[in-house]
Amino acid sequence: MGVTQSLVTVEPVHPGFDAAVLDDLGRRLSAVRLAPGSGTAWEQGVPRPWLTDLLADWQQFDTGAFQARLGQFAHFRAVVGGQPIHLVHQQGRGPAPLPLLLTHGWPGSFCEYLDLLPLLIDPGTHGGDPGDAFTVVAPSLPGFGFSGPPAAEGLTADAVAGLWHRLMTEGLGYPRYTAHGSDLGAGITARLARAHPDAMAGIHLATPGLVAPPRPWSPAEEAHFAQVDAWTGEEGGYAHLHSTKPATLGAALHDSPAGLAAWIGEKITAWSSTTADGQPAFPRDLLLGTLTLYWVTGTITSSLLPYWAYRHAPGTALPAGEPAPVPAAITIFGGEKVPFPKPPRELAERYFTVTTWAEYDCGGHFPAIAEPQLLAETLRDAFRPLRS
Amino acid sequence: MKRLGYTRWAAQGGDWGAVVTTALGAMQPEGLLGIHLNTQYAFPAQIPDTLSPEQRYAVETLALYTGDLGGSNHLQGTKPETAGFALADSPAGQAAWIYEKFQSKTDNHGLAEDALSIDGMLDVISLYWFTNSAASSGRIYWENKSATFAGPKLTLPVAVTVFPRDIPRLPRSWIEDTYSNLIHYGEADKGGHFAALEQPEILVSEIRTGLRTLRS
Repeated sequence: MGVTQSLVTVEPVHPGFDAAVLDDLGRRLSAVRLAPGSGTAWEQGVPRPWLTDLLADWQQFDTGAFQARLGQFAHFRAVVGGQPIHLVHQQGRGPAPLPLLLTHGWPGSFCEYLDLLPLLIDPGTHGGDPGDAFTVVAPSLPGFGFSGPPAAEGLTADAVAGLWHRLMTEGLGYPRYTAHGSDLGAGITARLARAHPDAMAGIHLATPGLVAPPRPWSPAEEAHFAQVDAWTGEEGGYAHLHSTKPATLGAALHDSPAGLAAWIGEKITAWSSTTADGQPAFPRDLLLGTLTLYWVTGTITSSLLPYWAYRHAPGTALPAGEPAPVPAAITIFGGEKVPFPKPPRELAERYFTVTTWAEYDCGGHFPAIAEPQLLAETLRDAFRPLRS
Repeated sequence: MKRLGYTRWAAQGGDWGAVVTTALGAMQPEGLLGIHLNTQYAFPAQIPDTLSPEQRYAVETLALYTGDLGGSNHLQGTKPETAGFALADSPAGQAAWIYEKFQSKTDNHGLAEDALSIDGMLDVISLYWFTNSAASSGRIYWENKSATFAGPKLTLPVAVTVFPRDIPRLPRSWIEDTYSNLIHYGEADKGGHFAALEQPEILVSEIRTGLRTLRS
């Protein structure tokens, strides 16, 4: 991404799902050819009975109701340096709403934040203090959902951070803002803090994945990276493929709703925390809405490209030992069905100026969905001291 | 082979076929006279610190399977069912999956079509498609997660042909170290990983030559 001084444009839009594409999806779902399957356990990936059930639900999914739910929010289309970006942008209700940028990851979407938004925008109506109100900006990553395809090689976290900063400052007129992210969004949020310390009042990261620093490591770091190796071996095949052959994989996922449902559904199920009755905290309806979003916008292949970009763009890892001065609140959420290795605090302190550190056995990989109240309170608490 | 009524037989294989053939060679069932391999699971258990150029090339080409060419192995070695559902429902996906292997592992000048005919590749893709075996074929990676290129030493007669663009391509020294009764060593002048598809005449000639002494 070169420096460009083209204007950032922002215009209101009303995104929806093309009816012809939905009809075609219905036809494909009724004509799915399933592999025979090998049992009911998850040890080899998604079990056939689970997938059959999900696909049946998808055929019955009320896409109109989902679009109506999305329509309750204010959507915009920005163009930054030639890259189209979809975003939800809602003004906070309070004496001094603080701008807050929320960045999702893979296989997520801006829809992860729909339950969280009212708590952030209007705390006064939700048991909180109007003084804690946020003006929220929730974009779709380039190449995801309504943001449409990015450049063919995909964008690194640094490149997306650059787009986000221009969006917030030039596009929306916020010279000072806060940011939260998880998954890919955590990496982008971290790079925003490094690149724009004057504009960033503070950041919050949910369970960031951190690259190994040069040795020596502490005993807790040794244990952590041993867990990372084990997790990568058993659970990291998807990322290996995303980062090396995204187009090959995309050929299948773009053409088969069953393939898309298996691919995304496996990870959302594994990475969700669970409710009291053992169900994923990521509800079935939102999973179906997410699948429909990826399918209708034809963005599964482009959504894989950040992994490819990261692997092929040397020098994009965060440097250890040079934490950005921007205050960083970090929350480690847990309780996933298949647990992620959780970084120890001392590892995070190599990369961030950590002002708050909390660990929970709940929330999982999608805390905005699993624990919106907890996340809202965390964000209010983290950023309250920074309001001025 | 016993059930088919053969009391004297040989075995040949490449890729997973060579894993099976190597296992037969280690088992040495009655009647197996010897084997031919165009993929050799003959890396040393410990890679030495000093490597000849040929040994270094072997290490570098093997590293592709943990790197740029290793995604499908990694995926199918852990989640073959998930991958299988995508491939079983999309002819485009199944075709891309297999074509990509031909692209990366044949002796070509940039396109798989340099080495294999389109119809030949479509025959292979069609076989996987019409038998709905994308998932089941991927399970071989899951079932053999511990399989390694540092395979067992074999004492039965072994004939080997190395194809120049195979991945990995092993040096003669490691092959001689692993097969103490190496009855034939050949180096083809062309061909890659899919020797039988790419260079059937060379491979057949090598199998005839390599196993001839077992006939008497």
